Amino acid sequence: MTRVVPGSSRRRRVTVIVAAVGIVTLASLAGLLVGPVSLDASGVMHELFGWLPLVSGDGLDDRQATILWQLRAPRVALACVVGACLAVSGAAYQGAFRNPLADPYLLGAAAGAGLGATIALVAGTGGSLIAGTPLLPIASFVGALVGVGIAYAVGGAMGGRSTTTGLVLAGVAVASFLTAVQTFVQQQNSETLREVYTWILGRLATAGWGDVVLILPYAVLSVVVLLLHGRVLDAMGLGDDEAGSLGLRPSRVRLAVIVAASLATAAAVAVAGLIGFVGIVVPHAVRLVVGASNRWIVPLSALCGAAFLVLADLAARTVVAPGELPIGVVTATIGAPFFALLLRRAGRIT
Amino acid sequence: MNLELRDVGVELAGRDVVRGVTCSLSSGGWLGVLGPNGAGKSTLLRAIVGLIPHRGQVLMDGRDALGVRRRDLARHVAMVVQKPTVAEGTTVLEYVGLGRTPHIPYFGSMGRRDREVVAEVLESLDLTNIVARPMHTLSGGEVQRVFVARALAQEPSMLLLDEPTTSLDVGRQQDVLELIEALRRDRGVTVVSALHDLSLAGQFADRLLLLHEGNQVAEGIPDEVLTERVVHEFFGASVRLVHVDGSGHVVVPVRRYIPVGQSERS
Repeated sequence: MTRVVPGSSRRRRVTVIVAAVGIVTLASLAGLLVGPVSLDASGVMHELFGWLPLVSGDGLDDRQATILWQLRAPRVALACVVGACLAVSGAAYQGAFRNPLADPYLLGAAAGAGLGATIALVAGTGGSLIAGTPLLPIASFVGALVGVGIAYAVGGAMGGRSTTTGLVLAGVAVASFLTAVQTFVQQQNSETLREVYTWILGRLATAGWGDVVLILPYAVLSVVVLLLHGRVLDAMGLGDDEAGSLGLRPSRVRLAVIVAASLATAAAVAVAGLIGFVGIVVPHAVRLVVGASNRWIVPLSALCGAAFLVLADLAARTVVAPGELPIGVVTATIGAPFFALLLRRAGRIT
Repeated sequence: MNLELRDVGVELAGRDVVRGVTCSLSSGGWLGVLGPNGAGKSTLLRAIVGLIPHRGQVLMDGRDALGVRRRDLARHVAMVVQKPTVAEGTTVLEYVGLGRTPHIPYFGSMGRRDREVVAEVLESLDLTNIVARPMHTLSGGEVQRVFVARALAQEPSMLLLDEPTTSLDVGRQQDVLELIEALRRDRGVTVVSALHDLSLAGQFADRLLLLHEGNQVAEGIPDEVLTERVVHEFFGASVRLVHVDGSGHVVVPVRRYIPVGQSERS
């Protein structure tokens, strides 16, 4: 009798996708309902779905509606987009580099964004701009892309062609260098230390619709491109030689994935700072459920990444209410033990 | 598909790894590439399939392979590398399906015909009952068959195999070579394979090419290439050649010297 492993059947995978959509929806509803001001659940439902026939009841008053639409909804939306971007980029990097430890920050995106943000904050407090906005998202976006660009150029020069090892090593070197520069800039302007530190730990707190609108084009474009790469990433998993003998050009595929994933990552860090762990823990958790095919891992990572970050943000603003935890701290404290548990469970099965 | 190599050479990192390989192979033939470790066998195969640049000419049905787009080439020429990488958790079905890559648009997905080809290949290689198994749970012989199935899913007219029998026990080695022989017979696939076992090479391939430090030192039918002198000179081995009717040449290693007193035992 053939032993059918979990995740091998198509039907099961479709079920998992449907379940993931359900989880994102529930997480988002929780994100809308929970907060310092309690909103009546039926009121929120009416506010959200009042346009549908057969939905009746009282809506929210103006103040509550403002809290819902101007404070909570953009924050939930931003968490969804950022979480999806980071998780999909992580999954794509792991596929393209055939390295389970690859994450969206592998090629210096975080360090570049950190330097960009620090420069923006320093310039912002020195000049007439208020606390770095709106310079901050643009500077960190550009910083992330510059970091990856340098790493790619250096890695390509090292290996002749862009081999994975060359790129990863170049990423390490570039990240260290940019972090050193960032530390130097920060030392010279210690009055911005607190702001820089806050940014590095990630923030969704000041999210408004502006942030969502700002990153949505990049996020949608990149995520769609990476979703379309699922099957190609599976072929890349065979190694560069076999992928080449199947008619692909591995270094070109890798470049396409790096460009798309870096755009998504840069967009995410631009509005939310450095949120660690999502890009590693989410794709790995997904892989344990649906198996090795990137055709399923990539879309599921998008959904689960979104749900994970919405829930992490919910924890960030409720655990020490009325204060807030930095979201990067939450993703790591929830993510790490959860990850260890998943791996332990997977170890028992196989 | 017939294959002709004209003065093919490969330079890697400024060093000549393969030089002056010239031979031809008719459609449906089997070329065995022999040579000690590091002789350039894998490099030659990688050059033929276009993974690394080469000097000279590689002609497939008279067409220079250099002028063919890689994707088009992949629809006609398939290769199984020596140690294929398999992502953890990949099932047999998923793995074999990847062989359809050159037939599917870059952003496309498998169509009906792709699934039909995969099903046919799985059936003909007797893999239907293990399609749902993850690759890492298979035995060595099964894995090798799945690798070949992945290559056949490309619907190639030429198949390159880099040491397909390494790490298999002797019975599974025969299984794999008999499978390749059957593909050649039933589908007319031209086969080029690097082989390290001289006896098996002599019995299955119909032409042999011997590389030594990147140079082609012998080429021809097994009778011409596999001689006691050649094996001694290029492999540093002492052997006897035994001709087995209907099977071909068998290369038997013999001791270079018999210790004193040893002969009394027999």
